[in-house]
Amino acid sequence: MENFTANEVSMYVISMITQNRLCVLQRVSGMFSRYRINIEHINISRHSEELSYWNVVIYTTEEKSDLLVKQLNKIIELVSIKIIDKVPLSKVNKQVINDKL
Amino acid sequence: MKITGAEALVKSLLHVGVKTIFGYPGGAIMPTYDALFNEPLLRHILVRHEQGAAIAAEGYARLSGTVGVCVATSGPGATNLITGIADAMLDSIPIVCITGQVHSALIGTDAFQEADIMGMTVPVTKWNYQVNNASEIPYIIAKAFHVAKSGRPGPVLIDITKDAQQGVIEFDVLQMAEFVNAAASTAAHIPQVPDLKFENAAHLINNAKKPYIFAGHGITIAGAEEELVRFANKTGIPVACTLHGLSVIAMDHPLYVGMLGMHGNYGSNVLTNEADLIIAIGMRFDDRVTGNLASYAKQAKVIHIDIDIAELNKNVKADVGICGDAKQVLTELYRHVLPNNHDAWIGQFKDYYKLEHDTVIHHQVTNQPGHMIKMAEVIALLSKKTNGEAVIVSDVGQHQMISARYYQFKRPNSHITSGGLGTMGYALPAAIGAKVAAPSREVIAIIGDGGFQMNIQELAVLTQENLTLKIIILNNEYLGMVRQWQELFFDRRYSFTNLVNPDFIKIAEAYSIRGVRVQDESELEEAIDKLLNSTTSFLLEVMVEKQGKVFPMVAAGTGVGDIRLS
Repeated sequence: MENFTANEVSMYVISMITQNRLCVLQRVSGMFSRYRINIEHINISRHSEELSYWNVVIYTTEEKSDLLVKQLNKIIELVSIKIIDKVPLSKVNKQVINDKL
Repeated sequence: MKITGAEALVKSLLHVGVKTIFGYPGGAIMPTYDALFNEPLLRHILVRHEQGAAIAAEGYARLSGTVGVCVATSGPGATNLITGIADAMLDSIPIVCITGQVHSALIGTDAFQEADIMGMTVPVTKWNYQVNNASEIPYIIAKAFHVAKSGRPGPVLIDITKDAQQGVIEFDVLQMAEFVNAAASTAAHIPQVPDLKFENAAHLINNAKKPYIFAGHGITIAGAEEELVRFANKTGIPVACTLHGLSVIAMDHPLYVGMLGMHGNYGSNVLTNEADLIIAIGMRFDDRVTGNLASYAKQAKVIHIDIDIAELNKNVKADVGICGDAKQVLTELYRHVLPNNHDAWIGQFKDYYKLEHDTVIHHQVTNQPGHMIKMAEVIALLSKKTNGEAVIVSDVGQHQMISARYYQFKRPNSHITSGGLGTMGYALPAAIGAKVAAPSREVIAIIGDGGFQMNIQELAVLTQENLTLKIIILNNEYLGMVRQWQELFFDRRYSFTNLVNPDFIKIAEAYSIRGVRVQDESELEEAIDKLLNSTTSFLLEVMVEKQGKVFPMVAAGTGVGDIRLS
């Protein structure tokens, strides 16, 4: 076995679809705060009667983002989740963030 | 048929197979209690504190293999459940908690006994849902039970407003059956394990010189005890258990080599750092098992089998990670592996066991004349007298570790304790739940004098429900485990760990429970006989050594290789 080496902080853009229900925002955001990951940007919008679309931007390591996505995946109301972009923090500037969003 | 939401709740519970619920009534849940009043098919057990209801539901779930159910009112009733819910979350126990909520028109007004129990239980539930319309009740109950039990089990909380309980709906049994089917398709799908994974795992197993199986709670949950033993017998691989894995393999099985973790066996910890392959099944490499990860099993390849994919690579990196049910995975893996034996490797465990026996175990189980009884003497004698076939329900602390170390489990699913959350006060209500689930088994609660006083009120349940539960209090008049750490790591500054206790025998008597106190070793055997032969509940209080310490010990922050014998 070897140590996790993926300790570099990157910007992650996570896209999710959840059921459009009470308490889902709290359940999802609670998972971020539990792992001490600050949400830099969040956008949630109702897509249909039943579903909400989410885009979340966070700065974290690969190890933490991997665990976070697996834990989010266990939320019963979560329909799908995907990391749609990852940019090393050293390459992130305001322009890049604006482009992504 | 037109019925109220509360009646639909009761019918739904019966439909999904519930036979027993643990609860405590109050204002916002009264319509449901009214529906329970005339229901002969649903046994309601009245606890004395809602925490007792949640934990009794856990004990019931663990021994029955079904979902445990507890009911409480809004506000304080619901908040009192939370410790039990968090306990079930960390130990993956399927329970469904039903709470009353104030009338939906009053939500958000700081109404009497209003609490945002949905918000409060988000981090400690697998799923929670608030019902404010009676028509939702049948489907939500069907879904709650499926979510609690499927995949990695866990607690679910359903909060039902008073008006939803009172509303009138059409209840149709056929429709309820459809709801149960529909609910079964909602939870996360566990993907089929690709054949290549089994081939890779089998390649590692067949070529390993020092392979080592870690057996965890997942084996009990999956009911895979037989598959585990069959797999171990074929491959000749030694098996160690986690705290919750205890009793998945008989302790007198030649391949059983001990318990893992902070107070586990010496060899099973030390040789973790010598194995060339670890096969971890239904366990999560908790910090109490691994000690310092920086010096944990660095030489070993790891096959990790768990139904929760989030556990794979979480604490320890897996060379082959298999996400699946322990029973199915072991059955399939069995076909891929070759017969083998590892006698020389197992001999190393035996050598270490001899060292541990000579330096620790022998002294712990042998009485020294003129000295107080030691906890291990009681457990070893109890183990002998019950032939290792009782269900042991322990609380949290020194007596818990001693029970785990010195009871020689011979039957599966015989060890119940609070492992993840470490909830003091767990044993009495959990043992009540266990006894209700399995009345024909001998259930023995082993509790410290500290933990006993955290849910002592549940003694009343034994009398009211006419249960035959055996209780052993190992009384050292200290919070023993904290005292042990103060002695070892805090310069013997015994800050608030000594207890001036009430007379437990008199307390038992007040609840119409017979009891005996033992001070001297010469009285111990007769007292244990009395306990075991009693046809009613019985409390045995044993005054034990005050300065006793649990060894071996992997001190906090150190590695498993640094395990101390003294």
